[in-house]
Amino acid sequence: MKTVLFVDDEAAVLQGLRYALHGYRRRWNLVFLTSGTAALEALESTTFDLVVSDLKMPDIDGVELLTRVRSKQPAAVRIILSGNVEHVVEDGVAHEALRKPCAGPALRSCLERWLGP
Amino acid sequence: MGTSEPSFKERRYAQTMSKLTPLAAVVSLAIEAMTLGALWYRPRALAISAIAFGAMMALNVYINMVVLKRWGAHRTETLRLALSVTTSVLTNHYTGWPLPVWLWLPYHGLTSDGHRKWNWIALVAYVVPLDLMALYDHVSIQQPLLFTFLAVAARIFTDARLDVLRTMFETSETQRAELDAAHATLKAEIATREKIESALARAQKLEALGRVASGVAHEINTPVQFVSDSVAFLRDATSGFTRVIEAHRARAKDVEDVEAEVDLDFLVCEAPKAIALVEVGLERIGAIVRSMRQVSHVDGERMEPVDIGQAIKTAVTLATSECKHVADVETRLETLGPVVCHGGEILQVLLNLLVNAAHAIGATGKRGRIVIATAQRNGWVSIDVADTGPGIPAALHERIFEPFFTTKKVGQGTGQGLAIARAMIAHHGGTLTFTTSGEGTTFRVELPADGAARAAA
Repeated sequence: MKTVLFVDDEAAVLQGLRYALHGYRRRWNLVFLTSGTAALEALESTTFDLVVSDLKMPDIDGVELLTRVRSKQPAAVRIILSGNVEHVVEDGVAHEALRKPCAGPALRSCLERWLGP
Repeated sequence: MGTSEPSFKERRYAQTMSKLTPLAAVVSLAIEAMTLGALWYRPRALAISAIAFGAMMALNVYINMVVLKRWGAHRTETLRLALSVTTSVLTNHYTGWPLPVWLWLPYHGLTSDGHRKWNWIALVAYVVPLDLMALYDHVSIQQPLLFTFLAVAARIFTDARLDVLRTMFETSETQRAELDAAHATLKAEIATREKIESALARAQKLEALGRVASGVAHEINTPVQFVSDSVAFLRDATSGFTRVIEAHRARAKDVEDVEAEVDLDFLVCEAPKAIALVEVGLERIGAIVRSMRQVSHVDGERMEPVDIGQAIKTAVTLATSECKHVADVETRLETLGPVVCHGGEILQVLLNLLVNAAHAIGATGKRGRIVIATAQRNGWVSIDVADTGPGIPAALHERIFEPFFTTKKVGQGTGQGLAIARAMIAHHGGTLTFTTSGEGTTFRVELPADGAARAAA
């Protein structure tokens, strides 16, 4: 089973994502974390196939987190989910950027595209 | 013409004439008094002169009150002249031409009703019969000659005097018209200026809102994200519930399979939470939209009682996305009475100070703290916005309130924020000051609580 990590400082957003992906609970292993620090810790113990991160977070910036993901787990697909994706995302930091609000179907089709059937 | 408003010139002329008429009456009485004095030792002549003068006066009153209205000015004056000439000629014939009666000649030269030609005709029509009768009565020729000369001289003098007067009226009328025109221009300019000022105030509000606009959009997008997810989940949950209920009704053997397939336990546990999430999200969106409306609200002419604590909360809501990643925002609000002010302007000032504080802390590169504190004493309300930024260098203390002065990069700030903020607070009769050190900067807004009264003083 593929493991997906979601990082957002807003717990409500994560709860919404959990609802949006409820239908995939048996297909993918979904992990939700509310801070960049917790995500970095999780990177030490778990191998992720895909990481979805917010950009603006109080402790660790989304760009920084994804850069760390790239160096530690280069195989993981990196997706940005933020309200403000005009932010320059340097080539290679993320594979794709989704703008909030991102409807359930758009998110699901994005994940399916990267993770396969 | 008679019904229209008399012109300025006509009114001034009528005023002057109404002042001259009593004078003419006094002079007439003086001449008659002198005549009677000259005749005091001749009772019959005295009586004739007094009766003739009294009759003329009475007739004049009657003519003014009755005939004038029926006949019009020109015919009335002709009648008055005819009566006057006849009475004078006959009275003088019977009283023997006492010296003072000759004063009537220059008197007629000095009076005027404004019509130059008619005045000359009237003078000639008065003087010539009188002179002829005097000569017929063997009065020494020096008297008619001298006083006829004086009458003509007086007539010429009066005409000249009237010319001067008329010129003065016309000049003052022109000046008045010029003054009126200047007044109208000034009024139009004031109206234009007021229009521009109100447009400018609106533009400044939009600028304050513009500083937080992209952040505000982000703040709205976040709740929209989880509200939509929750609603979609509730839709799926409802259809899951329906399937389980239908299976129960059909007494299906595979009820448990259906429950497991829709993950009934999860749905039952999460559905109320999803509803709560929707409510929280909508409340957040509503608060942001309300705050934006409060800032863009155009203040009326009058100041109104405003809850400063509420204004601070609104400003904090709007500046959330500017602040939350760089600082913790803390409010220490004393219970304040309502402050009379322009609420939208105060909100704009607070928003500017908050965004500035967030930028100052952002410049340090480490997370800081913004404290907003209020206090009230002696009828004054103070609002402190303190940041833990790097402080303002001494060299810039004099300049930060200058319009267009900014230390930010092009496109990040226009340098208008503090200049406008200080002008707005001054407009309320208050002050905007700051204290700064290496540990941070505190901006202090002080406002008179009864705004209008003090601002006017």
